[in-house]
Amino acid sequence: MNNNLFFYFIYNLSKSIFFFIGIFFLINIEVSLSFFLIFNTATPSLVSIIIFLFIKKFNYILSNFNLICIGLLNDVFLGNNLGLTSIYFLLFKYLTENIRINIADEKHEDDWLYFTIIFVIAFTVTLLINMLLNLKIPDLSPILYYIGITLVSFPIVNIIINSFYFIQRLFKS
Amino acid sequence: MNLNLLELRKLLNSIPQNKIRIVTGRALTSPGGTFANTVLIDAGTKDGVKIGQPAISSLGLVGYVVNVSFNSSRILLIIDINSMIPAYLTQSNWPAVIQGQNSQLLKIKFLSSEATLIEGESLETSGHGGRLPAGINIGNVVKTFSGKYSVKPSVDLNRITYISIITNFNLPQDANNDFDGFAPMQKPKTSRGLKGIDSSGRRKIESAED
Repeated sequence: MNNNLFFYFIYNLSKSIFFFIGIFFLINIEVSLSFFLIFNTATPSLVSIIIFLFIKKFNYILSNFNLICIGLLNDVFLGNNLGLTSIYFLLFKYLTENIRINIADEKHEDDWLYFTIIFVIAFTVTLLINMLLNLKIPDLSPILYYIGITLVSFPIVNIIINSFYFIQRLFKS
Repeated sequence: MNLNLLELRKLLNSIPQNKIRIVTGRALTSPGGTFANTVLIDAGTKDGVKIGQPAISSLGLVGYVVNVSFNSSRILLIIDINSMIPAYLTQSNWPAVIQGQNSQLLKIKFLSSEATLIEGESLETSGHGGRLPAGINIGNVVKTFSGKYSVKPSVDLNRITYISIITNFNLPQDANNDFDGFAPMQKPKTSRGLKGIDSSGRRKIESAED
């Protein structure tokens, strides 16, 4: 019994570490995307898309501690106010889990719509906190571009993940 | 390699004043944030970098140092919303303050209503406040689609590779610890000679020796 618990703990820990490394890698990609001309104004939030898909599609329960650490790392990288991204990630996770539990959508047909709602709410809250901290209203064009480019990126990332998932299932069968 | 050398040579020529010591570092991150626009460079306190020192590139002003560690420092770019640079219009000599908006263009603030902006006119740092040295190129005036005037930075901040820090530029608080500001100090009012109160009206603390 104790052995089982121990292995369960190790299994969960390894999953968490794997997720942490994956998201850390993704943050680096996200920052590097700004070197491309199309992403000069803003880069898409790939991390948000991945978190949404992990929770909604793969039923993977993310640890809050993991998200806080990833958020803090992101803030240190980009020079944001410390803790702002962590708040965003936690809010995003809470809203996504809420939708997963309360709304039955087994075919994942309305994922884009749910993602749009959750992303806009979570981002607006973060933006308001940021505006309160700076006591200034930023230019809206890069913010709208950021929202737009993230929403456009969602189906692309979704299709890529679906294709990987499909190939994996094909091999298994 | 040759391109790097050329850029470094250009950087040396862009210094606005003589006898200014600079430290050049390579940008470690790109300014990709939505809420903050900062860049990390690989020069820190070991190279003489301090908080508040101005950062320049071969084309003009990049920003100023906001955080320093031993090996690296963080530069707040001029496009960040928290960046405000005292500047002047080079053709008409009107002073203004240039503020970042977290976008590619900068906002012109506190410009006199008598001033007339000319499209393409360049702006330089005025040196007011003593925070930045005067004469560093910031950018040019552009007219937006809405008809408003903004400033386009002369440095392409998304493709920045090398950033130089002017390390021997002393901020007012560094130059003199007793610095009280630029306004002339007013003389204290004559006291009425109350016992235990000094000329400025504060309570006198007498030492035990007295």
